Amino acid sequence: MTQQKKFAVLIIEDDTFLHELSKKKFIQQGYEVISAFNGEEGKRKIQQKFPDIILLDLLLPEMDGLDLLKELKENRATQHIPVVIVSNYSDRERVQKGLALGASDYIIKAHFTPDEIVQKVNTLLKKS
Amino acid sequence: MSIRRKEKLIHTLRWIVKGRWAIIVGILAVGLAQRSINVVSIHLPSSVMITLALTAITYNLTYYFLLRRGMRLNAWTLRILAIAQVFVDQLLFTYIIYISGSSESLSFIFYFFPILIATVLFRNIGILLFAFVNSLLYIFLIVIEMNTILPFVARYDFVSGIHGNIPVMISNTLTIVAVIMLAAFFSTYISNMIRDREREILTEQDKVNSILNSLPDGVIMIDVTGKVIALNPQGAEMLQVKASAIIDNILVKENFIPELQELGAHIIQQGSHTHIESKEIEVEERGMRHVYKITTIPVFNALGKIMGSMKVITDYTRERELDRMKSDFISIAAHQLRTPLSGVKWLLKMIIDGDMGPLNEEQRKFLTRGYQNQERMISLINDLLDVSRIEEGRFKLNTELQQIEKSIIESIRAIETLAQKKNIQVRFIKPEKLLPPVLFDKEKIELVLQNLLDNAIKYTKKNGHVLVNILQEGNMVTVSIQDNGVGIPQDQQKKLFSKFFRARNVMQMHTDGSGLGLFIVKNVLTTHGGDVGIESEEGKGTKVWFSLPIHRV
Repeated sequence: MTQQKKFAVLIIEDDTFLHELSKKKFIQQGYEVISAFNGEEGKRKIQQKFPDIILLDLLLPEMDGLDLLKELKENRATQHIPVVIVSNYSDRERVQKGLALGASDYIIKAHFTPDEIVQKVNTLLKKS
Repeated sequence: MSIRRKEKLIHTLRWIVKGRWAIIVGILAVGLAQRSINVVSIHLPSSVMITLALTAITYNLTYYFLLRRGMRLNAWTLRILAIAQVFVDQLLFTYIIYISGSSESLSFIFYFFPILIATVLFRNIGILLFAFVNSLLYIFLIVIEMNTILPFVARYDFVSGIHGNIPVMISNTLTIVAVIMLAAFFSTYISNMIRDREREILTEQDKVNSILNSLPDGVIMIDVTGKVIALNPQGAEMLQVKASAIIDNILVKENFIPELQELGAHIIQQGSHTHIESKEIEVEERGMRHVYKITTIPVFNALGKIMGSMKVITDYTRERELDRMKSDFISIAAHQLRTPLSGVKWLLKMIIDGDMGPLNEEQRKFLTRGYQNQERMISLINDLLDVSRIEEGRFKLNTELQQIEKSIIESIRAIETLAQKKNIQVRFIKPEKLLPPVLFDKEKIELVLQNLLDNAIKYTKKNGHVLVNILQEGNMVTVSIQDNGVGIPQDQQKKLFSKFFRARNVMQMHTDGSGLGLFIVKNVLTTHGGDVGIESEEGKGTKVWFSLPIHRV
């Protein structure tokens, strides 16, 4: 995939296996991947460099995904960055809360392939 | 003497005092009227009459004031008061009989008053005893009059011939005494009857009260004017009110503490007079969260006239807390199960897609099979998740009034790829005119539609077809999905909607079904107030239909 500009995707995911797989997929698709394994680390990485898009897991050590999302969306500097929730929680309350807090999409990991996730991200980035 | 009996006795005595006022006025009127008739000689100076009237008034006033002390009087004082007044009445009437002509007097009729009073106050022996005393008083009067110990006061201006005629006097006296005793005897019968009825009512009331008081739920009954008729101790505790302060009074929001205002508002509300309503209310009280369910039931009397509404307050705190814990457990369990599965799924997909380097045909084939198995595992977990949500009664609906057509179109789109693979035509026959919107949960009904469409495609051979139809029948909208697939054996059709059931003929075709799909479908529709059914012939095809009410049931 040839891209004019390399998009930076921040993957915040504590499961190392899933993390590694999605990282590999996104790099192959021509993305620059920034990695974070917990909420606090994610926050630091965002402050270092604003990514173009964030893939956010919900159940994270140190800081819950939804809390991080809330902070990002309340901060003027970061609220423009699209956030896609990638979680295995499927209860309606969480999905609704995530979307209400300003997530661009909610992906249930087990229901999507890395391929499909990349496509979603592509579409979102094209829009913005 | 119990407090209730004491209250009752005081109440009765007060009524007797009131009744006596009527008697005093009545007798005074009779006396005055007789004075104006010439034949009847009331040889009674006005002064005596006035004295008599004043005596009666004073004595009745004394009772009145004594009784005003009410509950502060002890039981014995009340008993003595009850006996004394009947006796004093009898003495007064005897005196009236004397001054109005003794054996010639008709005033013996007044003796019925004390007997009536005795009937209200005493039992069999008491009544008969008073009648006996009464008779003695009368006989005594006649005897001393006969012996001229007391001067005779004639009733008439002429000689009636009764006074002095011993046989007539004896005969009259005996008749009068017999009538008094008979009246008393009959009174005992009436008194017993009244007492029996009273006892029946009290037992009935006791029964109702003990049932109400032993209920674990709070019960409060409010009449149509808003007055509280009944409240059990549990209700008083839940609402934090004092029963004695609100019973027989109109319930107002000031009766409730600030934390219970919302709950109170629902209690005060009269509610529907036609059907039962219920509502759950959360209350935050001293840092504790309580969930109360208020069920409002209209209450009718024996004639079918509305009396008011009964509110049953059930503490649902524990149940709701358990529900929450269960659902938390289920969503965490699902999350934990899915995480390793998604890892394997992603890995297999990436290998198959060649992201991890080239594959030969055989490797790709087997890995694809592995990937499909993985998908089955994930969908099994999803089914189980749905089932456990149904079973814990938490298949909460998120209903909205909407067109079902849109959901049908979206669901057909979702299974299109699957249908194309088998070259099965899925056709939706749209209704000619727009159907009324239906109240349903989009997510849940689309789950139903996808389940049914998935089945139709799965169990129809290549090049078959699936027809989706929609029509309005009465106040229901019915959606039907018809295929020309393998059908379901007749003897298996009944069990279709039970959990884990799979028809014999399809088990061999598709080994991977969980047997949960139709169970979920049935549950979703039941919670919507709808229905689902199947018509099928083995080898020819199956028609599944489901209906949803147009108006909320």
